[in-house]
Amino acid sequence: MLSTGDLRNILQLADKQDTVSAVCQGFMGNGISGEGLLVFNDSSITDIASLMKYKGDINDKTEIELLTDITSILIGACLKGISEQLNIGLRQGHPVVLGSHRRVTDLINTSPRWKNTLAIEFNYKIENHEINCDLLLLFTEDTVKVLNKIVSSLKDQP
Amino acid sequence: MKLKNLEFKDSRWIEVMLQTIDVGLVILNQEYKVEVWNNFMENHSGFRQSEVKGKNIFKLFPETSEQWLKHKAESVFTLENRAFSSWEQHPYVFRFRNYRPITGVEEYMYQNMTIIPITSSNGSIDHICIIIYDVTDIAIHRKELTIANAQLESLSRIDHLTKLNNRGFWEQCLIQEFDRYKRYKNKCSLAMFDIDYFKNINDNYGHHFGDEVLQAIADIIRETIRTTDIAGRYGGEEFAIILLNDGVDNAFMLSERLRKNIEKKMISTAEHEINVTISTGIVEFNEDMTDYINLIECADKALYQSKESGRNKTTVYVA
Repeated sequence: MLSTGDLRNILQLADKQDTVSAVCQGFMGNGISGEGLLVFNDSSITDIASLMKYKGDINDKTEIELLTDITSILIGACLKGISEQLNIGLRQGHPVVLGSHRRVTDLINTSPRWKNTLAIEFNYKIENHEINCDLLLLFTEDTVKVLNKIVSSLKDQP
Repeated sequence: MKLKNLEFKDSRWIEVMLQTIDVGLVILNQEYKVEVWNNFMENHSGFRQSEVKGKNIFKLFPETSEQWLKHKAESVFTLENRAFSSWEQHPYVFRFRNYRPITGVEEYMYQNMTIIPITSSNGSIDHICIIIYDVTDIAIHRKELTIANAQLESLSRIDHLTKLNNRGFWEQCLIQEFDRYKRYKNKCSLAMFDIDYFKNINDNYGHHFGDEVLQAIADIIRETIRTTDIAGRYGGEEFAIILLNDGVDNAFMLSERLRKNIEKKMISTAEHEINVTISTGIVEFNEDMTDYINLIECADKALYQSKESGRNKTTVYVA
């Protein structure tokens, strides 16, 4: 479980440090909804570009696009795994780059409408690339009930 | 039979919805040839469905970057996930002209795009669907907001770090007081000071500590001055105070009090603890001054003398 304070700490880190970028992407399907948060720690944008096989110039705009593209792929892969295991369809929405599309201080200052929620954390390190990121899947409070129901029905199956 | 009818009706309804929805829908095959597109695409591009079927999308829209869109689409074909594009990075995917002569202020339609995979009956991805959202209104509002914020920023009066008046606003005050002096001949003085050896503080203890020193100095200024004085941060480590209705004697007294308060204050953080001093120059407004810049120059000269004669001093400008 993750508290609002934990989330605030993560966001603060992304806000304060130039080397940390964060991208959010909402998802939903079958009564389940949430948001994925990908936090890049000291990741090299040129390494991300080479991983994404991007060959053009890197400027502010292409950097944001590379971040959103890699986020869609990583969060997409996670959601696909979960969808297959639970036999549900989860669909991603448009990615949002924190600090660029949304001001992080605004997110930190407005307290979320939840206190504790289910979160799943993954840490990605990509071999031979200077890419290190944490992926956090946060589910809404209502979703936790639905998830429990799905999981228990799966358990009941022989 | 009944069920079949219902299915037919359902699919008819869905088709009507997809045709009328205010979102662009395009289905492409692996060769980037158009299979289907909806009314939104017909209306904005001017090409009918029958004209585009089987044609390469990049031939139809030469302004669309082939390399860019293919890069996005290939990840959808191979990874079976979704791909996105935002107007902030790419204003449009397909260049559609502005279609509202009165309220449309932009040259073209701003678009967000989502690409989704379409699974064939054998489970492979042989088609993709491009979804185009018209976000022109959002883009216009966002641009207006950016301009408004920039204006607000330039209008702002407070120096972010020290919370004193910023240079722009403080200078406006000085101009106003100088004009008032020219008119009413009320006494008025100007004190300018800067922190001695501030560069060394930054070099030895880091800029973060340097900022804390500036904040501490600003606190002492606030504690020392009177409510009628107007203090501002003039430059990096340079501060300035307008002393209303004060001749040079009063200005000297206040400047000395400030200098001593700063000298005896131990500025400490978790890591460092130091004393700093300031050098001050004062000038009283007089008839010979041509404009406010003249005033600043005179105060600066006196400040320079304080520095030359050993720092931690207050010098009065003498013409």
